[in-house]
Amino acid sequence: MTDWVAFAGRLHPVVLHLPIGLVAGLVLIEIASMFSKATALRGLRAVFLWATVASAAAAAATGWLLGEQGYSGATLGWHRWLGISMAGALLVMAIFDLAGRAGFRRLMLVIVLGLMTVTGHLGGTMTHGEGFLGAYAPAWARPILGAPAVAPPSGGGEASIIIATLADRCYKCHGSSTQKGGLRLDDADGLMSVVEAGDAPGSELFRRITLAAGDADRMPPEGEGVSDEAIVAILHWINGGAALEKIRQAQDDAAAVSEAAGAQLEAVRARTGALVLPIEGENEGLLRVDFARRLSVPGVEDVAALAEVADRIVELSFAGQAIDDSVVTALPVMPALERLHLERTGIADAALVGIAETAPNVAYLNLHSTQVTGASLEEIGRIGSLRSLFLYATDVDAGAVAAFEAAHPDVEVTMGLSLPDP
Amino acid sequence: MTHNNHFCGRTRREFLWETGGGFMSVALAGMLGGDWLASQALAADGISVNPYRTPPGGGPVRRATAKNVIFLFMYGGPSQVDTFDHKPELYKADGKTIDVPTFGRQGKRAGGRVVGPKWNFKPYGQCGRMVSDLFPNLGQCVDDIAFIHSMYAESPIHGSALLNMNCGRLISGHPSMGSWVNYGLGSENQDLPGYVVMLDESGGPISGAKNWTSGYMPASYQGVQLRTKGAPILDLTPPARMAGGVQRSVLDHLAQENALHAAARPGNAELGSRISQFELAYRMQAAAPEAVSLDAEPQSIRDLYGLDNPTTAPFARKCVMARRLVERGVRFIQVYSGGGHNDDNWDAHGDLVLNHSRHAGRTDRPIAGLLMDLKQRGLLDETLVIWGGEFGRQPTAEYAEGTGRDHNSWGFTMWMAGGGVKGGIAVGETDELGSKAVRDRFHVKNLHATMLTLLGLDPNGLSYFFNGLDQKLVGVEGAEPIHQVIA
Repeated sequence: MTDWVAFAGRLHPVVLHLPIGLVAGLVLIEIASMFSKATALRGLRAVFLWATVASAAAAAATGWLLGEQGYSGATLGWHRWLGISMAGALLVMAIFDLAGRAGFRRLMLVIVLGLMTVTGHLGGTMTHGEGFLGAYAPAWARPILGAPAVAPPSGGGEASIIIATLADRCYKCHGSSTQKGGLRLDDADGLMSVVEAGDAPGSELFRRITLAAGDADRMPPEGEGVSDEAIVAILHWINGGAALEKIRQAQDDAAAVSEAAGAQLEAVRARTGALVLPIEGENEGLLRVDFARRLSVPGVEDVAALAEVADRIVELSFAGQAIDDSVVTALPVMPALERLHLERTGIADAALVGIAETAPNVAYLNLHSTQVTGASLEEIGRIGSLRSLFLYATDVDAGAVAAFEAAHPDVEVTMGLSLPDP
Repeated sequence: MTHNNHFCGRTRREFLWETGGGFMSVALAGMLGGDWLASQALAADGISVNPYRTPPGGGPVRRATAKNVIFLFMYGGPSQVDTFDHKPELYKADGKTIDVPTFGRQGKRAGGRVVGPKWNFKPYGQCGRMVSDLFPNLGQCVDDIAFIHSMYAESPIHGSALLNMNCGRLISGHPSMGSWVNYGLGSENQDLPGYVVMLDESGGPISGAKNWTSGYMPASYQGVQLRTKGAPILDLTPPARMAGGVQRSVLDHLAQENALHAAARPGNAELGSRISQFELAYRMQAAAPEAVSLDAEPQSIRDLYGLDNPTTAPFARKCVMARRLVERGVRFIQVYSGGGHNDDNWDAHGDLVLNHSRHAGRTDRPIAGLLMDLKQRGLLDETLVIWGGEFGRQPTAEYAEGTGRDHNSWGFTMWMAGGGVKGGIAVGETDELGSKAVRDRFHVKNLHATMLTLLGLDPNGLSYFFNGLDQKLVGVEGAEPIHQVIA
């Protein structure tokens, strides 16, 4: 199968070195011309300059074609456009040379050098992975050059070996900054796309890492293959059903080294099956927990897992879930809770016993379309912080509400609303 | 100076400064922005949204007061001076020819014959805001509404103005508001789309699906059209012969084949998007009919929205459906009032009274019902409701005869309610004829910025890297939210 366009793209790694060498030559000529007035230098410079323009254009063109072959991400975008800018800057430089403007030509050469450095670095990042340059640099230089992601410590079971291996050997091409072949292995969907649960030999991940060195399909393509220990761990994991939970758990443990809070959230998500969402950016503390979108009805054991993060929950919703009263009474004490959605749940008065202790600072309590009656109002009235109470489509009668409102003027009670008849 | 010293209308020094400075700043951005690059790469992947993960757009950066948006789009451009922008002086000038510059589909004019407002206004609610007799029901809700009387848009022509309002730009190809919201926050729903559009019975707005496109974002962010009659989503119902587990096994097999196909075509994010959309569609088959069925709605709700009145029923159905979708976690819902051409929408070029009586008559009760219903369910303070068209209308007549008004993008009224918006207020002003925004003028971008801010997003931070630019809903230049309406 001959694909000339793709083939031309593959020439990029060869072609790109031509302008780099020629620019170095231009710098030498420029320095030499500062000390010598020889006219031969001028001719030499023109030859070099136009050769550089041509080779830079060729590098940009082949690079464009290569970029279409399974690379993605913003690093590619920057590399591509800075590379094209460099070719353009060279052309401008050549035009200045024709016009005989030495000062401007030298200025452009400085700009070209700057662009070449950044473009080259980004190209290297795509080929060798994030942090290649900085990996062995002195500590003070690493923040500038970019250090590789630190692999989590191994030990603690096969799942953590898998995570460590993925981080060490895979993420640099299939991670957050580069996704060769469109594959991201630091993402659950991406990882599962190359795994056939229960069938290690049929899994692309396993096949690629176990190919003989030198096979075109082997992963990683360079350096030593994946360690035997990691291959065995991956084999066991896939044949054992490729449970994402195991990987997630290991991921949580790994993340705990640097981000204990993030791992805790992940664990709570896994155990509750609820949306556990930071309300102001990742891991900023306060949480919104939403059971409303869960595909199955949450039970007592699901909410028990909230205990770990109970003091961070500001919003909690069970809206539309047919929960038992016991789910509400099993809730941990949530001192930060401001908004509690229990609407459309079919809970009754028994659910609200002790609500003032469970949610002592709640300001918004939604009970619409539940079996709650006026008997609950006394219990609800003990919540001093309450400001909005929704009782639409409940069995609470208007008289009880009027008495409640009189006793609690700070609380706005909403019953059914209507418009005047048309 | 000789011609040698000019290049592209610049001196050589200017040219060099601009090119040199430009290249260097690009290079600098590349060197300094390591973290930023990594975050953008996250955004560029086309993998379907996992609600348990930080959404591609990064999730909320401030505490959100709105979780959902219902955008009630009054297609055609309602007249501000006949609806919510009370202009007592304009009544007196009725029939007089005056000098007032206008810009509509007839181009720019220096003046014309004033058409006085055709309806009286009266104060409503505790705030006493003036509302025209077109909206007796909506008047009951003014204490929850923030009017923005000083809106302006970039185009007085429907097609481009619709794109302006929906996508932030006059030209095609940019993602619409609902796409941005779902990109920024992720969908919280596993069995319904995060972005739903409901059209008028008379047809869609001009440019059709461009108004709910995901543009350069993955196709999974585009709006899904939901219909009020028949099958809610076209081609969703499985044929009878697919009963039992047949469809599941077909999908499983298809996924296998697609995976093989994908393996040979690395880097194709659209393929991943397509596979995930098959699965979403499968789950929607069960969820969508229930979400849009109004059978379970009690009589009190039917009365509240005007579901039993043939005039209001079509729009009322969409409003009830919008509420049901909000309850089911659909992030962004857009409902169109008006479609097709001429008097099928709010585009009152000929007979203003006929046109606006018709469309206000069809929507007044359902919209008031929606606001009341959201409020009684405790949803209004989590749901942002936006009302408005792509522009407003002129104070003067378009033709020598009749009451028709031409388009006017220099000044018009929109309103917001719920979702953390202050109620019972009005910001900005048009001139005394209602022709042009003169005080606290707000561009469409400011409206978009307000919406994103209420949802907990940073309008000037939420970006998508495309074509070498940090694309934003509010444009690369950015925009401030309308702080006065944010509670």
